[in-house]
Amino acid sequence: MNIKPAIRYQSREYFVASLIFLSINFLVPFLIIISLLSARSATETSGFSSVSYSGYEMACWIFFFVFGILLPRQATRICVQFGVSRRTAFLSLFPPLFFISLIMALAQKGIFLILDQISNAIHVDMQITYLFKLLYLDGNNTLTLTQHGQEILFHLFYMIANFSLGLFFTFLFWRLNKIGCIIAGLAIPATLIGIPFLIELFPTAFAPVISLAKTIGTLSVSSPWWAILFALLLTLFFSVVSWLLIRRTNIRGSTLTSK
Amino acid sequence: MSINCQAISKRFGTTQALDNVTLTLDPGHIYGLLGNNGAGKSTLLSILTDRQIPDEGSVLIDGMPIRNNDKALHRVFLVGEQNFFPDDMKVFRCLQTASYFYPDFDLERATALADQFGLPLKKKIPNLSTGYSSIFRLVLGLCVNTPYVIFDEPVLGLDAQHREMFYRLLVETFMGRSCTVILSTHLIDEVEDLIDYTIILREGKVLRSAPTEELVSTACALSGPAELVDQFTQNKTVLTRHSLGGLKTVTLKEELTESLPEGLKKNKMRLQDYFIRLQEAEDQKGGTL
Amino acid sequence: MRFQDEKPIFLQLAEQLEDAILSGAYPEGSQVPSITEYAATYKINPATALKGINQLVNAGLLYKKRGIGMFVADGAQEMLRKQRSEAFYHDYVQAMVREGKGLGLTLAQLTDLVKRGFQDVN
Repeated sequence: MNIKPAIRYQSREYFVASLIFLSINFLVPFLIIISLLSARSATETSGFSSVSYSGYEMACWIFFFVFGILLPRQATRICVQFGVSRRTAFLSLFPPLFFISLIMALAQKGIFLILDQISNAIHVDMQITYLFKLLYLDGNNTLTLTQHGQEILFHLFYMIANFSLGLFFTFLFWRLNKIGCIIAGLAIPATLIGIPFLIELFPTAFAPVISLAKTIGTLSVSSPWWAILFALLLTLFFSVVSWLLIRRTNIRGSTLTSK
Repeated sequence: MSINCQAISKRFGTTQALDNVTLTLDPGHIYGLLGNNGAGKSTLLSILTDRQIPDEGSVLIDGMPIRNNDKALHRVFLVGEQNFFPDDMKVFRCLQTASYFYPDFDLERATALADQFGLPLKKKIPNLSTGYSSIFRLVLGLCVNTPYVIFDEPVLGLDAQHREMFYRLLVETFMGRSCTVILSTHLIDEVEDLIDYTIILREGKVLRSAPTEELVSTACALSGPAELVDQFTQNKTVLTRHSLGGLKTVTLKEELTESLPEGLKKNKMRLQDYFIRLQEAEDQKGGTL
Repeated sequence: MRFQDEKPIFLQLAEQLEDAILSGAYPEGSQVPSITEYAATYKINPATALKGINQLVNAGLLYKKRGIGMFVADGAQEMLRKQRSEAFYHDYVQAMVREGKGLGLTLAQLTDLVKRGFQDVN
């Protein structure tokens, strides 16, 4: 198997992007703290001493979704150009993905811990909404060691799941011809908007779907392990479908245009 | 040890791009893959490298089916007209990446060649002009050192000096590594002496596949006064006829061994002439059907 | 340079090599360029170049030193000169005499013409 160079190539692509993403992740909260501190010193006592923000983890998930859209197409093309089979090219997507999402999950955790420490030390009331705490801890702010681990795994697997969703879309649009792309482009938002409508219109017909969704939802909220399992199942589903899509499709490049 | 295409067919909508193509490409040759636009050359090359999957038939490289086979695919390198590199990739980074994938890739020679051709290493690949993007592709092909190297329109947009340089380098590479080269090109005249085996595709079918010398010797051009020519060619297979005033030139589908009557002149055919006459003959056939 | 169309390329290459030996461009005992160099210079298939060079090897004009290359054989120039004069006699002298006889020229007249030619062409 000629998987190593494919992994090496992708790792480098990930490396640069993740580095930029992480440094922004690091910088933004510190900039906020600094501006808070300077505002406080300027206004002496009264002033902004409290700030809240959220959606940190979501940014990470979206980062992986976008990577899922961009990287597999690039990597597949490079692999095909450089004599790597489709199967190996496809498999090569996962080791660097796993590695990078682990790094990102750990780095994110690190940022959170540092932020907590800093805001305690300088008595800034930073109300950071952590998704994990919101879902599983009812506002209780201290995590046990197991819960720290769970939080890392939770984000790790949802990053991977988001990547696989991006992967699915990119290969779906690769597989489809022009008309197919237009139809899919219309159909995907239409279903997303249309299904709630349909559920409202025909509640009985959708009863099993609703109950399944409810069960998944309740289970996911009841324990992070369930949520992780669902993420894993989603990843598996989208990856398998993506493989079926790319297995026989025509791998096109872009035509070299003259300038 | 060879590339075998076994009964490959590929259809795009209503067009039959390839129709039951069976070919064997043996090592030690420089092949010329010729055909008019739309003859199926690029499709065939894409299928050889698993970029496209044939509807029917299969490809074997050195006895190994290419589907999901790294070992087989690693032996062929195709520089095609499509860009498979990311938009933000620079030339040098691409050469470097090639050397990750192919341990035998000669990075030193690649940078030397880039220098020789004046190819800017720091430029992004999509920003290269037609000529330089051709140079970029052929530098890859000349340095990759795989047993089979395929060039699809290698000299597109290249000036005469660079074309000559490429052909020269190609021979040196071919001799140095004894690899198999497949040249797909429209500039037949330039490669005629280079290719020892010619494959002509037409409408998705293999029209001719033979050693170049053998191919051109199966036809000859005969010219002279129209009356004389007609008389002489009465019982012969005539591929094409052209008249210029009273002077008539015909292409015969056989080698003439008999002596010619006074006033007739026989010319050996060049491959390009042969190719054009063959296409004309096929066009005429299509017309009468 | 380009090869002409009438003769097979390998024969044309062989003739060129002969010319080079005859003119002393490739002296006896010296090494001649390799097949790769010929093929690359003339942009011809290496197999064709090999075929052309083998013509001279078979005629004893060149000899191979294993692992080193191809060399001009001793006496190659003399051999070629003989060969070429024979061909010259055959292709030109006989034809000239035939043509001269057709014009009704005598041997003396023909010799005079040849002498004149010798003086005019330098």
